[in-house]
Amino acid sequence: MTERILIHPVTRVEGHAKISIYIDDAGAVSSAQFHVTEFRGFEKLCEGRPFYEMPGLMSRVCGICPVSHVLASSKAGDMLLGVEIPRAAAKQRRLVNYAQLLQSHALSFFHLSAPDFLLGLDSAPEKRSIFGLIEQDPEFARRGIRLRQFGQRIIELVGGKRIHPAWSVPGGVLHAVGTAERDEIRGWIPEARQSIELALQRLKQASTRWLPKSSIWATFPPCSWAQ
Amino acid sequence: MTQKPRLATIWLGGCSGCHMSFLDLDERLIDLAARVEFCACPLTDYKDFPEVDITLVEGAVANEDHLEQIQRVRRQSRILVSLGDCALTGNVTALRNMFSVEDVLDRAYRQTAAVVTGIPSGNGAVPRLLDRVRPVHEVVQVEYFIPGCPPSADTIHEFLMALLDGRTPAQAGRFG
Repeated sequence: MTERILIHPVTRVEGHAKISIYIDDAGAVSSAQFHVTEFRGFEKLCEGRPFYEMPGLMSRVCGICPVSHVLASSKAGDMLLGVEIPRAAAKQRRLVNYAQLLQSHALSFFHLSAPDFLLGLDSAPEKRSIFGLIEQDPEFARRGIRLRQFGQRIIELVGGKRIHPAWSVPGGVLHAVGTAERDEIRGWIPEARQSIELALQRLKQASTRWLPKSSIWATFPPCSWAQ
Repeated sequence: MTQKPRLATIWLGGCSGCHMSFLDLDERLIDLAARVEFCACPLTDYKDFPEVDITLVEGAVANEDHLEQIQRVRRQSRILVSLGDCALTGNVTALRNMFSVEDVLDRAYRQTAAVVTGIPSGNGAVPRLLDRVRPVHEVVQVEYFIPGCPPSADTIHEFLMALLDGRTPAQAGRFG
């Protein structure tokens, strides 16, 4: 008889998910499944639509990493048109992509996983969130919020909108970044660098603190198929 | 001292962009955290949906889990708010309504599958899709509507502040 542990919903992840863990008679994990429960059917619903709609539509695949989808579909559009985009456009697309990496990493650490590291793996579930972090260490939380804000602000300054910037299009980008925007971005860099260094420092400290626990925490006997 | 109003958010069939726009409140989140108690939401570890004063709903009702969740959330929430175009109209999530569920699944899981073919069920863990994606107010009663794809952080902020200050929130914002 196999027992199933169903984790539902999985929280503090960038998506919808459930997890099944199957336990055999000996009490060992026999298998585990990660279920992605969200499905919208983009594979079908794009059919028959104009290709220049794709960046705006594909962006809606994910509101957390819309830039990836905007850029991928713009590039597919570039290929359909058979064009090489201007160098300045390629650089601005890259800048916005880096900005997204920055905001997504800040989100992943400060908003999603830092509560485990800094508040404790077994801290009270109702406090184990960015809001609990705000309560315990508001200045550190503020730094994380502002680091994510920096990434989002670059996307807004260059792409015109923080979420779903349909500014990258087949053939290039809709408008060029100006000097005022460039200077604002530059102005943020010292603070962002300081926040990243501080976060790394805190993460290292927390890792050392949790090292003894990590050898036993959520460690299951190996699954047969994973060996 | 009176208890702080309890705020929850839920994410149904959508892209999470409305939740990201909520996070785009940036440092205003810190001020908001002082005024409300954040309960169940994708950013917290609540597994059960508690009784709350305000719930912001992102996304359309697209599968059996969404249907069950929104009915429970409605029972537990004093004020239910449709946040963003998918909740309000179905928006991009509802574009699949032009096709049958069978055709949509077939395209994604059989015709274009590169590694594993077949529609996943996860022993019942993967919810079945509804025949038709529906906006939230077609399924349960909704008190307020905030359009946008996503609604801007300023729009969300103004709405919440009005509600918390006891003013009637302006039904501001625009679609798209």
